[in-house]
Amino acid sequence: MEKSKSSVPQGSLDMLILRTLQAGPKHGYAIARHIHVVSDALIQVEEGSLYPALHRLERRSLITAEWGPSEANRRAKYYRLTAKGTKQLQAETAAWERMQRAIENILNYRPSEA
Amino acid sequence: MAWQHWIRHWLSMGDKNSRHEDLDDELMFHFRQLVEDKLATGCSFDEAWKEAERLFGPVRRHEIECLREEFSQKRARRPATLIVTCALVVVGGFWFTQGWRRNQLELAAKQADLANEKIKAADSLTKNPSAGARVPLLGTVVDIEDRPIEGAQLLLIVKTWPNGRYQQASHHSETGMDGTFHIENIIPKNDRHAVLVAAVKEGYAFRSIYRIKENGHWEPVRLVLEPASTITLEVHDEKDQPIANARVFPSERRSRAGETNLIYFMGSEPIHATTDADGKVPLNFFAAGDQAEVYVQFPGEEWQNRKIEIPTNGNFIRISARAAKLEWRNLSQK
Repeated sequence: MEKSKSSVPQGSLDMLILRTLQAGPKHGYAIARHIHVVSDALIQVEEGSLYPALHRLERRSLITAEWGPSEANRRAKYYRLTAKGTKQLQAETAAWERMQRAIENILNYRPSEA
Repeated sequence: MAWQHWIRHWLSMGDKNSRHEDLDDELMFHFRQLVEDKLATGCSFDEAWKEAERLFGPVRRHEIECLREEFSQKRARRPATLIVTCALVVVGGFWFTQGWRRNQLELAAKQADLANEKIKAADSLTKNPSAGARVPLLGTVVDIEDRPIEGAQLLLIVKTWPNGRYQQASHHSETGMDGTFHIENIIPKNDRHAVLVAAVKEGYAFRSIYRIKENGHWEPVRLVLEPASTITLEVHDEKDQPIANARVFPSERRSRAGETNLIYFMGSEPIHATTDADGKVPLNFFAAGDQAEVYVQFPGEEWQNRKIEIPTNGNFIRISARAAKLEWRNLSQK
């Protein structure tokens, strides 16, 4: 079985970020690493998309941010999920599952034989 | 609240430099982490920097993207527009309230839809009891001389698509004295599914198989494990001090014959090993000549994957928590 890497599916980066932060505060680098590792290296978050997404989520008050020391004692910006972000995550997860079901129905469609 | 951001932005318009510095610090932190990752795999500093630049792209481009995202909505740029902003906030508040009510009604409708779907699924199960029925998976783990291997860990990932949704579950078992294993109620009897089975035992190169099936008709699985090379993994920090309690597990091996064997991160806990006080842990799960990958978690940090090549002779492998070379040493020389 081959493992092929791919970018984050379109429209799902916000959901993946919110889900990652549900486990606890993380800085941007740790968020990207977490998604990469837990997806068994199948999903690679592009840094060019990650930070605009983080700042967008922060402005929408779905996450908050504060500066703190990293593991190497460097200044890092840690993001944390808000209560509003938790609700948004639930809504986006439900929407994703509906979309998945719709796609699976199309892929599994088999015309009845004559 | 969005209006607080507006006010904060308007008040901080004279403090643009501070915001840019924060953004710069954040992006450079990420960039530095990428450089250190590459240094830890044995690259020179120049190579690590170029590779990080290639992955990350120009820092200025990220700054521009973030600022473009910030200014994508209309913002108050002059003090005179504050009055207009306040008027818009009042009107906007009215529309927001209406929108909020509409969202609540839509959410209630969606929840009702979800509840109906669950009732339909349960109803379908009642009418067709075999829809959710599951069958066991059986198998044997043996060595290259066909002798049973007792105590081999079986790590399974079962992928299913119930009601069109994707689900993935992990299972674990262990072989008995006769090398067999038997796991109940995990394979769907009548539905499409995929299964990854990995057999892991220290002293043997781990093997996995992956099958996709339309129903639960499985022949017993047979996994043959070849002997592993004797490898000791040594984890140390920048000052060459051993790191105890670092967690490690094997995740991928590509044999010289080109076969790929995998262990998923999910469900891998039974085979996690921890370095001792000397920072050492046995890593006897790969054959000589394998292209290997392991996951390492240094204390207090995220999991990281490291690619290594298994040599033909017994060896120590050293992994550093920070920028350092990947070193090889022969046991005979040590």
